[in-house]
Amino acid sequence: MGASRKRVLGSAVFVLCLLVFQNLSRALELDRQQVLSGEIWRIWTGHFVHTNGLHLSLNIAAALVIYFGFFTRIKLGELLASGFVFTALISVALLCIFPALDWYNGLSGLLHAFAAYFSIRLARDEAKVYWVGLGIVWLKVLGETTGTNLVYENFIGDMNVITDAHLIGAFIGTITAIIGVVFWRGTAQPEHG
Amino acid sequence: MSNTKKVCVLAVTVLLLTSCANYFGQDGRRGVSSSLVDYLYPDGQVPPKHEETTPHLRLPLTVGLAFVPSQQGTSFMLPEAKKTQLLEEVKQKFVGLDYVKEIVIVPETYMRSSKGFEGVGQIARLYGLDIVALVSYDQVAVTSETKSSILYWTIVGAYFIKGNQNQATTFVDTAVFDVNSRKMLFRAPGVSDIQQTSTLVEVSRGNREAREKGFELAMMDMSTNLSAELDRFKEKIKQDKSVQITHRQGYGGGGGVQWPFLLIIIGLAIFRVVKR
Repeated sequence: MGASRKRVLGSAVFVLCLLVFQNLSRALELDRQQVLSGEIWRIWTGHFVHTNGLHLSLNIAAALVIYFGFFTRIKLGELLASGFVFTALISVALLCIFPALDWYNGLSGLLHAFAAYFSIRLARDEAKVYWVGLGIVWLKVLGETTGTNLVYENFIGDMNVITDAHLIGAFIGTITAIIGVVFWRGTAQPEHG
Repeated sequence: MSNTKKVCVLAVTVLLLTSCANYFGQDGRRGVSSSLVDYLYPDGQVPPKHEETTPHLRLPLTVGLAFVPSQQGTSFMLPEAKKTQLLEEVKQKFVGLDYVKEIVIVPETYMRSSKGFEGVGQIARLYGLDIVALVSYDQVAVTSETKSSILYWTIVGAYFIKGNQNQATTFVDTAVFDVNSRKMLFRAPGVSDIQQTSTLVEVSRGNREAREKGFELAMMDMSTNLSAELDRFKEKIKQDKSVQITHRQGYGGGGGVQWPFLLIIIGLAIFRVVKR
């Protein structure tokens, strides 16, 4: 099977999973009380359920555009591993930094982490133009952070957009990539195909 | 009949008809009003000097909505039920806001019990309010007769000819206060001017309808302005940080990519694919 077909098939499976998860959103959403009562899986699964159809559609569209537009060279294994780490870090950061936040869902925090992380990785390994991608991500999150002091100001339909998740995602992605760059300095670069 | 008697009969007839018309005709200017300043600073109290305290709002907010009580005893006062209905309509416009937990309509009888910020504070504690929106008003109602009212002289005309014009000019003003800091956050006015004609026998009802309709239209206008002022207020506090915003337990939301950013990355992706 060709690489392109694999990517399309993988993306289709990913979208299908999101649609299935959507029916289980109550059990998968990042909910502070439920996490504290032992439902630890929500730390990971909360990023894959959405508040409403528009929220889901926008995030799926953004995920597909970012992947097929910029990051097709990233291996599935690296995507899954980094996704596993980033989702947990973003969830824990949200729960610790915002004690009043009771619940959170959505993919965009993870997308920001991916965008920052892989921009640095590919800028180092592939082409300097990826620094522009990193710059755009940071301009966006800094604009959101400095332009608003009310998280309720951004809405998708009737849902509040927790823009702090974007900042946390971009921060975690950037820091992880920098640590990776320092760690792999002088060693063989990780493969990607 | 002598000429003197004829003159007397004619004079009496004219007098009776004039009295009759005057009896029915309610030509006059009346009004009702409530003053926010008089309510918050009763007995000639002087508002305190401006303090550099920053209001602290904890979202989502519980908002109290009430009419500022007017002077009692005026026959032109709106009934309590009508006031509640008007406030309910305003409430429905804002009840869906995510940063508003609840909007509570405070009956005027509660507002009457005590004046000043102390009174507002008592009501706020009673209802658990964070901010209060106080609606003050001023309405002038004028009933005048049009040229066609001359047909009232036929007596029958008083029942069928709409020779009275009932005009109600209404001004309402909603001021939103932070209960703790006692600072006004923003305000929004609403105006209406309504004219309705009525027959002489229906003049009281026509006048009442014009006054009620005047309040309804002014409140609708005020609601629209209040919504615009709310947007301006949100922009303002982003710029000057004049209000501190924090969140209570229990809020949440999603991480979502919005349209503008999605369009940008689609553009960049297309550019990159084409260039490749």
